[in-house]
Amino acid sequence: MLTFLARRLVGALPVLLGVITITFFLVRLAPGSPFAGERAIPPEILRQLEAKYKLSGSLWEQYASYVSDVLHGDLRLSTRYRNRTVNEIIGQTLPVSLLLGGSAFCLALGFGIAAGVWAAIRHNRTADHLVQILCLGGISIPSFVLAPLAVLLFSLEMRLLPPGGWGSFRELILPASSLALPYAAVVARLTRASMLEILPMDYIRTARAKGLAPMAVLFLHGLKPASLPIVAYAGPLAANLLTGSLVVEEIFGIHGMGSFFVEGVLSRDVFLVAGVTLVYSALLIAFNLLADLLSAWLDKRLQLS
Amino acid sequence: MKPRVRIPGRRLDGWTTLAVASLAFFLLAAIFGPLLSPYSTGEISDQSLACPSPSHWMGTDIHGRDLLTRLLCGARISFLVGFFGALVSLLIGSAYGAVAGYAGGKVDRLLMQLIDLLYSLPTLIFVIVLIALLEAPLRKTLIAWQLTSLLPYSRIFLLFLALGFVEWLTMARVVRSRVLVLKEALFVQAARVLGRSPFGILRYHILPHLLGIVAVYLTLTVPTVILAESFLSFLGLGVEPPSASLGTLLADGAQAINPIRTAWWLLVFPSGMLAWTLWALNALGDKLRDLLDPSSR
Repeated sequence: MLTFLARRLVGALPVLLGVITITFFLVRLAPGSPFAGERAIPPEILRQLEAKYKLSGSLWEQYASYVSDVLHGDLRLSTRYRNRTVNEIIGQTLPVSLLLGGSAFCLALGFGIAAGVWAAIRHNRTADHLVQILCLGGISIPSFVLAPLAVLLFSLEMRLLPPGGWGSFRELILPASSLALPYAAVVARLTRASMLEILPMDYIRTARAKGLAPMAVLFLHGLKPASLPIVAYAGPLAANLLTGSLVVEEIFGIHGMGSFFVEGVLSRDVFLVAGVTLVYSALLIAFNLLADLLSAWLDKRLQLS
Repeated sequence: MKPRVRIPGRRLDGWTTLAVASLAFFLLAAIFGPLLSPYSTGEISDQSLACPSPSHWMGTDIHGRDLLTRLLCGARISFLVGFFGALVSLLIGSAYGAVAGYAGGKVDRLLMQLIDLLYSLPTLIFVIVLIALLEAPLRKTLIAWQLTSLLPYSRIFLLFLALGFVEWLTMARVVRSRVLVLKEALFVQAARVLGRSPFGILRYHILPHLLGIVAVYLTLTVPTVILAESFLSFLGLGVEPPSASLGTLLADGAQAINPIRTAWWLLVFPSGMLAWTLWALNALGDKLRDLLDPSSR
C-alpha cells in the first residue's frame, strides 16, 4: 500500500514535468508576443519587460530557469495581469473552481446513482424506460446548452434564481446543476448497467431470503460492488467537469480558474497557461489516485500495482 | 391469450427510426437548405431581432440576418467538422489500437498506460492551446502557397485535425481488445505460419474483421467531436465569424438573453438543433453498438 502510493506519486512527477514542457514550448513557440498591444513598444522597453518577466535569453535558458522556479514553488508573474503572480491568481481562483466543480461532482454522483438504482430495481418497467430516455436526452444536452436555457427559464422568466454572480448559495445552484446534469446521465447509465449485473446474483437472493431489509440489501450488498465502474469513471468525470467549467464560468460570469485560463491562452500568457494546466493536471492525477485506492477498497481482489 | 414475447433489443426501434429520419432530414436541410433559402448567410437587413414570422421562420439576429439560413449553414460546418474529425480519430485510434493489440506484451502495456493517462488529463485544454497557437503558422503557409481562397477554412481545418487528435482514445481501446482476440484466431495463425509480415496480417486478415466495430465507434465519435467543436466555438476559439457553427450561434444566443430584451429564439433554436442532432447520433450509435458489438453488452 505505501509502496504503491510512493510509486504513484513518483510516477506523477515526469507527467507533470511533461505537462509544463509541452505548454511552455507550445505557448513560447507560437507567434505573437505577450507584450504585443495596440502600439509598438520601443525596443529598450521591450527588453526591460522581457527581463522583468524573465523572458530574455535563448528558449532553452528560459525553459531551464522556469522549471527550476516551478520546483521552488514559484509560478512567476502573469504577463496578462501585470503585477499579479500566477500563484496569487491560482490561490484566489482555485477555491472558486473547486467549490463549483465539487458541488457539480456531488450532484452528478448523487442524482446519477439514485436514478440508476431506481431504474435497475424497476427493470423493464415504466420507470426504467423513463430513466433511459432521460439519460439519452441528458447526454445529448451539454452544459453550455443547458446553462443559457436554465438562465432563460429560471432567472429571466420565472425570476427564481440569480442569472449570474458568485458568493451565495442561491448563485451556486444554476451553474453547479447545469454543469452536473449531463454527467449525472452518464453515471445513471453506468449504475443501472452494473446494478442489473449484480442484482440477479445468488448472494443478493440469500440476503433477501434471510429477511434483510430491502434497502439494506440494495445499498449495502448491491451498490457496494456495483459502484466499481462508477469509481472508475470518477477520473474522467473530474476531467470533464474541469473542462466544462470553462464555459459555465463564462456564462455565469464566475471568476474561476477557467476564465483566467482562456484569457491567458488568448494573450499568450505563458506562465499563467502553464501554471493553470499544471494545477489542473496535478488535481486530476491526485483524483485518479484516490479513485484507484477506493476501488481497491471496494474490491479486495484488485491488486494495487 | 396470446403469449407476449419481448425480443431484447427491439424495443427502441421506434426511437431509432426517429433518430435516422431526423438525421437524414438535418443532413439534407444542411446541404440544400441554404440554396433554397431566399436569404444569403451574411445578408444584413434592417429587421434587427425580429420575432419568428412567416418571412423569417426562426426570426433574425441583431444584424437582421435570417436565423434559419444561418442555422443551416452552421449545421453544415458542424457536420463537416464532426465527420472529418471522427475520421482523423478513426485513423489514429485504429492504427494505435491495432499495433498495441498485435504487438502485445510490454509494448501493449506501455501504449495502454499512455491511453489511461490521456483519459485522465484535460485534453480539451491542450486542444485550446494547440488551436490558438497553430493558426497563424497555418495561415502563413497558406499565403505562401498562394492558397488565399482557403484562408476562411483554416480554423475549420485545424479544428477537425486537433479534435481528431484527442478523441481517438476509445477507438484505440476497442480496436485493441478486438485485435487481441482476432490474433489468436486460426486464420491469423495460418497466415503467420505461411510467413505473412505483421503489417500484411493486420492489413489483409485482421482489418476486414474490424470494419463493423470501427463503423459503430465512428458513429459514436461524430457527436463527441461536434460537441467539442461547439464547446470551443462557444468560447470563441472555434469557428470564427462571419462563418458560423452551432456553437457560435449558441454563444450569440446566450448573449441575446438579458433582462431588458430577451430574444429567446436566438437561443432556443440553435440549442434544439444541437441537442437533437447529438441525441440522434448517440441513439443511432448505441443501437448499432448493441447490434454489432457483442462485447459491449
